[in-house]
Amino acid sequence: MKKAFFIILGILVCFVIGLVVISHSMNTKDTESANRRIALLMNGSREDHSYCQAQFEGMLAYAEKSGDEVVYYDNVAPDERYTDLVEQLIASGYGIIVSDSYIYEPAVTELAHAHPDVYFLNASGTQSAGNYSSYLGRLYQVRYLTGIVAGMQTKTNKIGYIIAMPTPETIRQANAFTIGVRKVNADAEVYVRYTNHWNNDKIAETVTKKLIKEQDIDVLTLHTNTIMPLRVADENGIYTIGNNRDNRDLFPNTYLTACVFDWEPFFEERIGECNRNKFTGKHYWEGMRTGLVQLAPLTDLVSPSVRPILNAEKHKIINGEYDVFFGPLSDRSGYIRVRKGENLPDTQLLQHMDWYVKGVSLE
Amino acid sequence: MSDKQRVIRWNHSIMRLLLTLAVMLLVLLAIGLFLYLRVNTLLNVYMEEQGKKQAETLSEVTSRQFEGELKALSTVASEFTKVEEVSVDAISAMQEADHESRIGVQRVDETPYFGVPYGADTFECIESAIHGEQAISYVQGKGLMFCVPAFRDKNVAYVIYRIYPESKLYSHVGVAGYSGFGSVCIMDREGHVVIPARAGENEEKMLFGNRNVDDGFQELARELFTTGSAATFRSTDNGEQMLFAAEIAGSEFYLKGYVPKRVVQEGVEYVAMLVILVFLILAALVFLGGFLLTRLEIRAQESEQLREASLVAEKSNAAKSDFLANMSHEIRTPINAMLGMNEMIIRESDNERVRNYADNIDSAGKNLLSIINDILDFSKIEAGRMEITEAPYQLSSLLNDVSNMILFRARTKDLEFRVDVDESIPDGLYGDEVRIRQVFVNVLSNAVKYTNEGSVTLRVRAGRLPEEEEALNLIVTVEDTGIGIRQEDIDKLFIKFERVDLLQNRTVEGTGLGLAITQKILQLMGGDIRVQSEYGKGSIFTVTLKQKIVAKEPIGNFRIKFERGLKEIKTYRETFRAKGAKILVVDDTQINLTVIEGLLKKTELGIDTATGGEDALKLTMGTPYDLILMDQRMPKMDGSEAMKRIREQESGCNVHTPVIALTADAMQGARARYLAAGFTDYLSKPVDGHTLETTLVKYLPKEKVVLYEREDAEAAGSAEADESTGGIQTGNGADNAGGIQTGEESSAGGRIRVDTSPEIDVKKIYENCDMLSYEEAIQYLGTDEIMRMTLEQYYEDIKPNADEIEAYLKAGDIRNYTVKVHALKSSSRLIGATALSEEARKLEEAGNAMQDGEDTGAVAEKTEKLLENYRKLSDMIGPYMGTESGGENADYFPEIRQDELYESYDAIAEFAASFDLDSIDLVMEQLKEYRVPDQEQERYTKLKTAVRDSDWEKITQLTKGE
Repeated sequence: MKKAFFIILGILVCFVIGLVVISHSMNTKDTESANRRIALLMNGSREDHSYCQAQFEGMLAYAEKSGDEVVYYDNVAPDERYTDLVEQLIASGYGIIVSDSYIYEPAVTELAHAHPDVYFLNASGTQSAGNYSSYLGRLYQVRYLTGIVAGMQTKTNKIGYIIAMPTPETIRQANAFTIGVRKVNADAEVYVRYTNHWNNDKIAETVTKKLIKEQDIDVLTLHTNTIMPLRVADENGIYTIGNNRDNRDLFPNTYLTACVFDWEPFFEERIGECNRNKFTGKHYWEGMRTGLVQLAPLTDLVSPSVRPILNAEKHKIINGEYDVFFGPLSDRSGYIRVRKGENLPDTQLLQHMDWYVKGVSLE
Repeated sequence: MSDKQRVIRWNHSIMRLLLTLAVMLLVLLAIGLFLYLRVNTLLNVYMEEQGKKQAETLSEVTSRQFEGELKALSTVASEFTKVEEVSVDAISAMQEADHESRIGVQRVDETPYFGVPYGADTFECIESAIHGEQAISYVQGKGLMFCVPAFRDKNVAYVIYRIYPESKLYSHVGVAGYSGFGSVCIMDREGHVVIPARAGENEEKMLFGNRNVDDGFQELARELFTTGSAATFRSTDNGEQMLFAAEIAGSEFYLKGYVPKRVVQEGVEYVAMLVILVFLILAALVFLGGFLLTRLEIRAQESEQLREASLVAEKSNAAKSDFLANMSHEIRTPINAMLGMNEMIIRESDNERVRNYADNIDSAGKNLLSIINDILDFSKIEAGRMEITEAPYQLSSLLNDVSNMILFRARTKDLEFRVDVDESIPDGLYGDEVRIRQVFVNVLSNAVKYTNEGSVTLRVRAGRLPEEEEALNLIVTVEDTGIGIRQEDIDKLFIKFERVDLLQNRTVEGTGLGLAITQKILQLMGGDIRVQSEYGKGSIFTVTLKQKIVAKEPIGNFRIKFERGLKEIKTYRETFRAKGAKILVVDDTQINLTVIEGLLKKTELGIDTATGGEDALKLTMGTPYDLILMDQRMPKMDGSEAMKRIREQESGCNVHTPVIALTADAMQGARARYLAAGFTDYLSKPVDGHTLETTLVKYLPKEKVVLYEREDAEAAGSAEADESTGGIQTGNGADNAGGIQTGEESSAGGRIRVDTSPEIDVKKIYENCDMLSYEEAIQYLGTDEIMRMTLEQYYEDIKPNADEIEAYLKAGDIRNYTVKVHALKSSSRLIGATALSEEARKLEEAGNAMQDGEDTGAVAEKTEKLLENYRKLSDMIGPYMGTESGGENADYFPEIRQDELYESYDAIAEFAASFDLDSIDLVMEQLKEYRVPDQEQERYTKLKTAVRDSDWEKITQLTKGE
């Protein structure tokens, strides 16, 4: 009898505990607002003075401001290592995975599907899902402005443009740059050369040197993650226009300006949405109006006469009166791609930019 | 179980029941609560799901509306893609149709084409359209804009928009409430109301802005992201409301609203009610079941307890029975020894008084034995071990034995014992003779016991059984003229340990078991016993018992048979001598060996003894015996085992020697069992001399036995018969006339004249000693013999007594002094030292007075005088006592061998170590039959004194110090 009593008591106690646990768990839906832990994975070095460093610094600034816990990985290869690393991070409780390259896109798509509770942010791709957003900025708007600077600065009317490889992104930016150059200097030519590597210093150096040797260029910009082309140009007394990050300290004698990202506010907004469960999976492509992409301040090497026209153009872009690919635009063969009064829609810009505007000179 | 205990137990049960029910109730409440919560939760979840679906539906409606707007614009836009410059007729028409909104077309550079241009910095949808995407934007204060791009080829050429000012929004794109109840509005991501709830509606609208509701919507907003739609319940001033929200597909907006819970849950609450009702019924059933189960359990427990209690009682009863059986057994052994020793006294003593005493001991001992037998029987009955073993027997023989026994008892009480047996009863019957005998003896001795004058009559008749030729109903009636039994006491008669009329019968000995046993035995045999009694006049006990007939030959005139039997009874004497024969007696108890040796001493048999089976085996290997008496119960190897081994000894000399079992085992069927085990015969302990000798004569080789009848014994027998006083009449059937007189006691008949120590001439002592008076002494002591013995003892004691009295007085130990003086007074009077006794008496009185605190003075002086006289007496009678002990036996006994004497000393030393005075006395007794060598005289004398005084230390010292 005593035994039975204790058994009943035990059952009762278990029951009550179970009840409490159940009702507790019923009350705690997925509405908690504790900040998620963040991981940033980069395809290059966090000290590349360029694309990766820009994102790294943006995230660092956000982490400092918010106090969120962020872990950083650089030089992450886009293969199984990326997937394994992300899986491991998720298993350790990381709730926001940020990575910075379209090369990760297939992996991210899969991972986002496998982990609906984890938010994914991946730069330079175009895919999205409920817990997955792609993001980048309309850097072409700034390229257009730097093109104006270059066009006005050149004396030889030959401007170098070192590109890692032709993609809609690189072509779009080179086109925007060229449109800017030609807007102020119809005679100028933009000499585009490919390195075929985003981060290879040696190849970038060789390609740049070859370009300098072949063409009498006096302004050079780039679209690689290595800044070697700028070093080469700087060494050769050629004006340099940076990209992704302001590196004026490195090249005090040649630096004119740069297209830069300011990632911190963007990260703050997106991560905030994650933590408030306000996340919307979509493709972010913000322009100059939000300040994500900016023109770095002009150095003293830039003629003051550039400023009025530059400011006017900047204003038009920011208030929406003008975007870079308004017609009329012709390609290198002279075919009119965009008539006057027309604009290239985003779909064209993002996916079908496979032609260079007039003024681009390829090898 | 007392009432109080019962009440406590009941209370305990109630408490436990209540506790159990309380616990069960708690469990049920918990389950109920859980169920209620669960059902509520599930219903809420269900209703929330419904709410979500409604919200989704509403949002889809809105979404469709939005899509419709965009589609309409797209249709217009498609016009613009076809031609360079298009007319704005279509747009104008649209604008005409709807004055509430404004429609416009502008180029990508925001230059107007139709209507008012809007900047991309104002309406985001303009920028989206410039970039080729349809979009909807809401700007607070300006309104809601739908915007689509117009493509020319792949490029965006124009942007077409339609803008609804805030004030007009509801009527155009507003959403009706949930089934007509509640309110719905559309919000943007920033939380601005894009399309307000139906304007001017009832007070429900006011719920927006209610803190609790806002909190609910915030929660919904969080949920919205993952699910696309959400719903929850919140209580408000207007009762409980369901809040819901859903994203509007294809836009940045979402829809939120509320509806009274009652609208949503229409009918659903009955489900909860139903579930609760079912649960309550279930709970009641469980509760009821629990109650019944607990009650059943309590009952089961109670019966369990009862069962346990009865088990315990049974066990303790069995333990008691076992204890009784064992005790009886244990007591029988010493009684056996006592009776044996006593038998020796009876045989060896010529002194009439001593023999009288011994007879009394014998009678008391046998009485005790019969009581113990009663107890043993009863414990067997209780233990269910009483067996009835049936065998053919002769009724006449049985009646003969019983009558003999009762006759003797009746005679000692001066009662007339009549026997009346129907001549026609068949003599050969079949039944348990032993138990029937026990019944007869019990009933008859009872009659004798409770009859103080008059007669006891035994009548035996046979009742015919009509159906059975081969059986008869034995009807035995015992009628007495005794004290009778009160009517109300008759029922108590057969209850164990119950003795009726105690006041009157307190002098009657007995256990109160006799009749109970009788009744039980009769029940076992299928008979019964009845009593009729008249208080103060007498009782009639009638035993009825069915017996099978073996031989139809009638019993005839029992009187004649009985008479003949009586004549055959001989007084006890050694019936034979067997000088050349040799027997072995095996018993683990030394006393038993001594008894048998004593009993057989005069037969001149050679007797070897062994104290165990193994010893016996050794002896039987070397010595051929004519007979072996074997105790059954021995440690290590029991009698059966020893007997079997003796039979199997290959080179043994006793393979065919008769072995007779000795056992205290009085169990039914013992004899048969022992014979079956291979024993030649069986002797029940305590062994009486007669049976023992008869058995020996039967089995000893005839050539070695000389049957022996002493003339004087016969003479003594007939003389005693003549002198006997008790008369009995035995009669057969109607013939009651012929009386016979018998004078024989069944077992304690003739006495053997024992050769004893030489006479000290007592008379001579008394003649020569003026301190002693023969006349006084003979008055107390009766015979010269006793006088001699007493005098001897007295003489021996004088010196130590005197010394002690002196010492006690000196030490001031008045108490012991007084005791001693008192003893001196008594003993002196016995031997006729009257003056000395008187002196001692006075001092005793003085001693008593001193103990009471009075000082009578001059005690020391008087004591000195007393002791002087005391010692003088010693001097006077000393010469007649001869040299100590030497005089006792010097001439009559053979001198003991040195080694035998030392053996005896060793034995005494051993017994002394275990304070076994009885055994020591036995050894000393044996020593008396020898003459102790002169050089050992001193020590022997001292030893005798030490044994008499039970001075253990001294005994040990004397027997060990060689």
